[in-house]
Amino acid sequence: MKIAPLFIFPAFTVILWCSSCSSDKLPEPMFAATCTDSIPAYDPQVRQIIEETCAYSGCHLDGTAPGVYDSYSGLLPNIESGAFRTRVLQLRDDPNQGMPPDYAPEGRPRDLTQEQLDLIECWLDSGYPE
Amino acid sequence: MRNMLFFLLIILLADFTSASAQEVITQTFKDSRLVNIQSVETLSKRRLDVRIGHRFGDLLGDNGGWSTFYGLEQATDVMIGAEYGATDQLTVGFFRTKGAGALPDGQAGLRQVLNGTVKYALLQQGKEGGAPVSLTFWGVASASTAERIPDNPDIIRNFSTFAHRMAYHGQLMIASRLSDRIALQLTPGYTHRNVVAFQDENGLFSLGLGTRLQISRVFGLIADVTFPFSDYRTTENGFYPALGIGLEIDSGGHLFQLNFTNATGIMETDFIPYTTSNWLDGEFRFGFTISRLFNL
Repeated sequence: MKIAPLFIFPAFTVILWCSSCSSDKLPEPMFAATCTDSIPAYDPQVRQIIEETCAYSGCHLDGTAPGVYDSYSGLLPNIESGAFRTRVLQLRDDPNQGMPPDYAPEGRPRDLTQEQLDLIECWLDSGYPE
Repeated sequence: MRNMLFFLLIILLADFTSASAQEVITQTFKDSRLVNIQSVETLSKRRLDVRIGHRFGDLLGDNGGWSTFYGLEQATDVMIGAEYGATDQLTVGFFRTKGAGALPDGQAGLRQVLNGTVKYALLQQGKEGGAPVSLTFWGVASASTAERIPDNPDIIRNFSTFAHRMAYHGQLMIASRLSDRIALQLTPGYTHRNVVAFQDENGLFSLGLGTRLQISRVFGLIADVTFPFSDYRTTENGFYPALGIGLEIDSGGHLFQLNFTNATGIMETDFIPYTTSNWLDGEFRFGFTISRLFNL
């Protein structure tokens, strides 16, 4: 069986890829006014908050609530739509709309601490780095 | 300086080409990879090597321990793909990796990556006389297939041009089998990423060192370490050399490798620029590779 021709594809792909070279740098991120010392990242700072307060069975983990928050990409749609900021920060005093809600199960936080809220706001304002 | 090295290499190659008719050492290492780095080995013509590699989460440290069952509940990086021996000297391959690397500030590297690889054996070590070393070139071009995030210009996944999805790595491997049991390898390399964070650098030279010790007919111990040369990549800035140790088990048709490494990514375009885990903080992981050879 001759399968050598199959590998012409990756060889061509390599040549094609090598023809698209650049040496670019991302812009220096703005230090958001809501940040105090450093910009947090999803992993580990935000992920820890999410896992403790949102991503558990019966909520944003198994399809009970919209969004599967087990990874950065799982969280991304609700960040980009603005729903995450609205529900966590702007509506935080609303007992049902504010996240986490007042009907969160026993043992799970029903409010974020001010420190956690500040961290999330800084993270969102800084372009939610992964 | 670089030109001089290049000419020295050409002279070395020309010098030993005449000795190519002599008997050569055909297996300096058992496998085409050590733990993190490639080895000088190429596949024989018309052999197919199907490979699956896996890196779990941190064994210990802040993100390891009992809560993640010592990293076994996490998949840091996964590689699946194959290599094919087009000739005895030329091996081409195609691999898909999850991608795992990130800068210490959380800026993630490429994710959902397709990797095209080319390996060419330039010189083989002679058994008696001839070339004192084996010399092989290896190159990889990596392309992220991750969905772009157009609204955020501060992250690599913004992918404002197609080229920003790409990273490349090329390396020369100089290896010698010192005895029936011990082999050593030196691996100078160059990695280029088309887009990097504002404080990072696009081009990166590195040096890898690897070794293998045959401990019985079936078992071999392997180890390698890769040092990137960069003013930015210091331990003060949160970067560490990628250090891996492993056990190879040759079961005949299969080759199993069990390893521990602080590198998160599997491909060179990932672990060389982005190793930010420290062995001394328990930030190393268990991993394995399964290789199955087919004759076609």
